[in-house]
Amino acid sequence: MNTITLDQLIPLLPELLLALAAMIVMLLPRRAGKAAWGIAAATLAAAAVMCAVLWGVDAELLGGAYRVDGFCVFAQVMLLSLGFINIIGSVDFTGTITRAKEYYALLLAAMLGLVLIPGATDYITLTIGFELASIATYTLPMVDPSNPKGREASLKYYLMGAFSSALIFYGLSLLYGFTGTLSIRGAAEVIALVGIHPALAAAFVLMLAGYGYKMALVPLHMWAADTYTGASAPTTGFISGVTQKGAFIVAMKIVLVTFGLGLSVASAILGLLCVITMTVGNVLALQQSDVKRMLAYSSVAHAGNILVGITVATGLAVAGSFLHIWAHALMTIGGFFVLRMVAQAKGGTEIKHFRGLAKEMPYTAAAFMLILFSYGGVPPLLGFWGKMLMTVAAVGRGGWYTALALLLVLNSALSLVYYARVIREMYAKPSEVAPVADMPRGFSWQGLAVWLAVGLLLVLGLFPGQLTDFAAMAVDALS
Amino acid sequence: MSIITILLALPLLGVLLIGISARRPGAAKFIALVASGLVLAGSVYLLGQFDPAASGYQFEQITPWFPAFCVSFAVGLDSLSLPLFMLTALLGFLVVVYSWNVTERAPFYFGLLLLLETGVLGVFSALDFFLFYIFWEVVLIPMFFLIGIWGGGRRSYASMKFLIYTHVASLVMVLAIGAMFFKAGDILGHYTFLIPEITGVFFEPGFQVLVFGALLFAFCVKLPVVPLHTWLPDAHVEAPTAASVLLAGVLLKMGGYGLIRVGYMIHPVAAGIYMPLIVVLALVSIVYGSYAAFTQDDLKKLIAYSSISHMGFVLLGLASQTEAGVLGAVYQMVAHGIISAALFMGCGVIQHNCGTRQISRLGGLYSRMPAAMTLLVLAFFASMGIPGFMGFMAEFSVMLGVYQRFGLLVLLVALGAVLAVGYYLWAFQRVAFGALPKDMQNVRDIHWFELVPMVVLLVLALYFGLQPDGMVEYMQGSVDMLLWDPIMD
Repeated sequence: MNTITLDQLIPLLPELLLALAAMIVMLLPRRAGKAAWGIAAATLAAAAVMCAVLWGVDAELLGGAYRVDGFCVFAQVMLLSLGFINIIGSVDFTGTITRAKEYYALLLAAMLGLVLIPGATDYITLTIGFELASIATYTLPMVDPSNPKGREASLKYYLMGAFSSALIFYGLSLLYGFTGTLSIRGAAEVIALVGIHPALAAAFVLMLAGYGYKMALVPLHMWAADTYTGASAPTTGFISGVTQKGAFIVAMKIVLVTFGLGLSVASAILGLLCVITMTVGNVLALQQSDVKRMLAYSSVAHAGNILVGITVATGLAVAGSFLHIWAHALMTIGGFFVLRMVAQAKGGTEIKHFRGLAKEMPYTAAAFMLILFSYGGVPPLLGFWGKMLMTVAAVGRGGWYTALALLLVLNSALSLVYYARVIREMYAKPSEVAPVADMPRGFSWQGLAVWLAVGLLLVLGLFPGQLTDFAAMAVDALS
Repeated sequence: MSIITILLALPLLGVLLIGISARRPGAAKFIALVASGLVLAGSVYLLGQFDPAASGYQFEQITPWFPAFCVSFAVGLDSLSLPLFMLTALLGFLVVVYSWNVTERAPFYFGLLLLLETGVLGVFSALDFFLFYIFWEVVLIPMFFLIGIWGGGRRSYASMKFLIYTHVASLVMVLAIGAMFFKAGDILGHYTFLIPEITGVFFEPGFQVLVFGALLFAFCVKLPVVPLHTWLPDAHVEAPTAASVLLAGVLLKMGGYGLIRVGYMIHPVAAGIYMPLIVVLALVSIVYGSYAAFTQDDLKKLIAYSSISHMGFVLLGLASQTEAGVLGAVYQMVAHGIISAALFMGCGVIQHNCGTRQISRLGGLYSRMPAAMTLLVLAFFASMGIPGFMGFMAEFSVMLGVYQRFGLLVLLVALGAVLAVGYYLWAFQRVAFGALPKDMQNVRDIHWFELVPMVVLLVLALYFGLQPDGMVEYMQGSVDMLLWDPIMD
């Protein structure tokens, strides 16, 4: 059982492929940015397909340290597809920098770390994956030397990340000290046997705080606005749309498997965090005049939304969380690419640059309108279904969860104010800033990424049944 | 596939065609005319096929859409929703005619009108709570754009206020729907969003009180009821005429329809418990709306406040829980839909031709635009409840019901009706007679495309005022459904 045999490696082929591709990209000659892009995109697509083929497999690997099941496959396919959409649009950005191949090598390494998270059955494997993803992403914002804000973004992200890792390790050491195991499920069994010790509560809070940084929960969100704004669009899309989503997978494991069911106070802490995060994120977003900063704060608010499902912790609610993770990632990836296109065409992303955009860039404006409506939870776009499922599940659980549902709903209404404002500027106002003369027109890879994201928001929004079924099965596998 | 599904898809098809032919902006209005005309023709066909004697829903279609979450695409019409469905199809067609000379971003404009039509038709015909909510939200977006792009000077403020008020209300409605979904699931043993199934469930009174409170809030914003009405005058004043017509004519009815379909039919016990509050709200709306209308200098704002007053009758008739009152409430929804549409069209004629709606800046217009003024005064008569028009039948019926249930409280209601006579006649006197301002010596009379819809509406208002039996026959079934009430009987 505990020996690693060669046939056990077959379900691990996607992970191995990612590791191999990262190394190959690293060995490419310096100017081969485009080749690196092709390899990276193809690798992610291939890995996503290989993972999807594993749907239905249930196997323990690597001496019990790794488990391929419904949850693992669903989350891996999700992360890989999101990463794929993001990478498709990245080529327009990496064409302008000299360190393109390093960029893709780091992205692949980060993806490798991320796909290890859903399958991990103990906190050692999980931490290895999470740290690999984190460390690779720290450097991404400063890969473009012509962007001075990128360095600040990178450093802020790194310092906060290092601090959060320290918290996580401290929490894990407490967990190990009091339960004698670092197995995600094993710890839960011990907790169920011996009950909750205050030190275990401390472990929970520390781990939540550590991963909370990565999820950008208020009050641990300070890095998010600067990092998201400072980094270039594809990097922000990757951090907010993919890496951050890895942290939610971790949160599901911590809350739903190790602690949640045994600790009612944990639920209360999470609920409070949700409320604060949603409200503060929305209020801050409401005050921004820079659309990029506005989206950054709205990402903070949406982190609170996603956490609602994990707090409510019923099957329906967590499926809602999964749907909202999909939705938010697609909206963020698409949205930040739109911002990059607007910045290229009109020289900035202030609100004034969006005035009259519907006339100057009709397709981009239409895509952005759909993305913003989806952010605001307008049916039948995908952004609506996740919130809807979580709201209904929270009402169904009753008690103070009903209040949580009400606050989710009110926050959603509040958020529509600033999204609708941008839409109004695009469609109802005359242009204020003329587009630059050499405004890029026609096909662009980032445009394709935007429309891939928008298309998925629309199609999955109109036919959410299948995705929800998969999400519900994934949640079943977890519990 | 039900014919309703086809009627819902037709405007969307029109939107698609308009989108394809966006390079030829002139084509948009013809596409919109054909699409909305086909919807009107189809709904007239529905009316012919509808059997008023049968109970339950007709032209039903139930197709699973999102089985994991028990959501299905379910549509159908009964005697409550059919008149409102018809009203929407009629007004959807007439506003396209009325907007014939709109050239500013015409494809976008007509596309939004069609999208709005689909949304409202969907709200009135949805038999699944989820579908109901989705259509409910779909209505908001085109209206937000119509006010925000083609509106008046404070359009940004008004469109945003409209969006926030109605969106918050609809989200509160979602909470109520979610609660009903789970409770009904517990009672039935399987989860469902189907409105007919949930209507058949009897919820415990404590639960009803909670849910009905949320629903009352949500629908009273839409209706609107004082003190949740403040978005309406702003939205009306800034909205372009076609949007005002649809806003007053059918969007407000969504509130009344929701209150009946979701509130009264599913939570009759709570409706009885909330009755004193509802009566107070309704009376305040009737009297305050009339009183506020008196003080307005903007003709459109005057009509907007009168709308609030008239929708108060709907609420009051429902609260009375008598046959006459409920019938009057349902009848008033259709009557107000037709009459307020004519009012806003008349007001739009003045604004387009004279360049202002300020009553103090108008005067003597009868000498320059006799046709428009004649139609306007007929609309005023209809709205103030002159016998012979629909409005009279509806309001009289409500008052009868109120007298049966609450006795002399009817005097307060009559006060609202009397005030209406006052503000309309006074406004008309200032607009139509007196000295003609210098800058209006050359105003032209009404255009044909404005004339035709107004004439159609006024003829209908007169016809159903003189021949109410034709429509009452169709509404009787819904009144019977509503009067089943364990507390009242």
